[in-house]
Amino acid sequence: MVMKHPEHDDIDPNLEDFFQAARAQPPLPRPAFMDTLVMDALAQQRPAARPASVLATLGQALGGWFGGAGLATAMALGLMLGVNFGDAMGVGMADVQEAAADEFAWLDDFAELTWEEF
Amino acid sequence: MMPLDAKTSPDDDAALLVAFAAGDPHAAKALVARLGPMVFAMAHRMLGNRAEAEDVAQDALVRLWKIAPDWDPDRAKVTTWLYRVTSNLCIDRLRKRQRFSGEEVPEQVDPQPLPDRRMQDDQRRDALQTALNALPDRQRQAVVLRQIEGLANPEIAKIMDTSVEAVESLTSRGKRALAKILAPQKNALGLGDGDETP
Repeated sequence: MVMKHPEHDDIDPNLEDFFQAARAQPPLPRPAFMDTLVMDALAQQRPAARPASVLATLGQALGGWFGGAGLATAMALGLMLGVNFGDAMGVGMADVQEAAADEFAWLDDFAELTWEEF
Repeated sequence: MMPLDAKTSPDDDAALLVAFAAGDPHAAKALVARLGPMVFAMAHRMLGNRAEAEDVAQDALVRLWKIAPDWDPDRAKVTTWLYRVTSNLCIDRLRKRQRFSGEEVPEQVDPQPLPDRRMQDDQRRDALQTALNALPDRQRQAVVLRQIEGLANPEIAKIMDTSVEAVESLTSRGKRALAKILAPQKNALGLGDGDETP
């Protein structure tokens, strides 16, 4: 808050004349110095925000370059597992089918039962 | 849209600082136009030296630019913060001066005959500056902020990180000291007893 200046000072009535003279003619900065201040300010300022491109928006949605790199790694790993998992799964499924056939062979005894006999 | 010039109200400083932090170059220029002369004048009155005042003003404003992205308008007015930073930078310089050169000796003003009112004002202003240079740092700071910059005591207390009572005491002692220093020059400056300017 800026206060109103008293017209006369209680300590010395003439002091206010000195203060008034100082207020009337404040020390002014040189124009070249003001230019320096503007350059300082612009140099410290980060660039204004611009509308983002579609690619940049997509990149941001995927978490930036770091997130994108993680996604790419995950995709590569998934592809590798997919290619190799087929063979592994083929052997595994055959074993499972054979074991299941042995385990449930007794069911064959009921295969010829008719509903009437049952 | 808010006009970005030096004539906007003090409340706009915070809004301009937000725009500055967002990268608006017009806000940068407007803030320099509004705050640059204020900071420079304050520093010049505290230091009595143009080159040093420029250094301090530049330093204070760079600090403001750096803090702009984190500025919290609820904590302080931009001008209060800036006056405080400027004052502290000035006092640092004054203390360094005193360490290197001992007690400061104010220059003596020898006023010449006064051809016109403008020159009289110039000489009164210069005499006051010389007298201010002779005051202890804190008294000078309080007198400049109260009597010349025209701030209220509560705001000065915030700037000086002290109580309102301490500000009143510093201002009062500073003015008494100024009156004593300036007394011998009053006649020459057209302020002798019974010779007051209208």
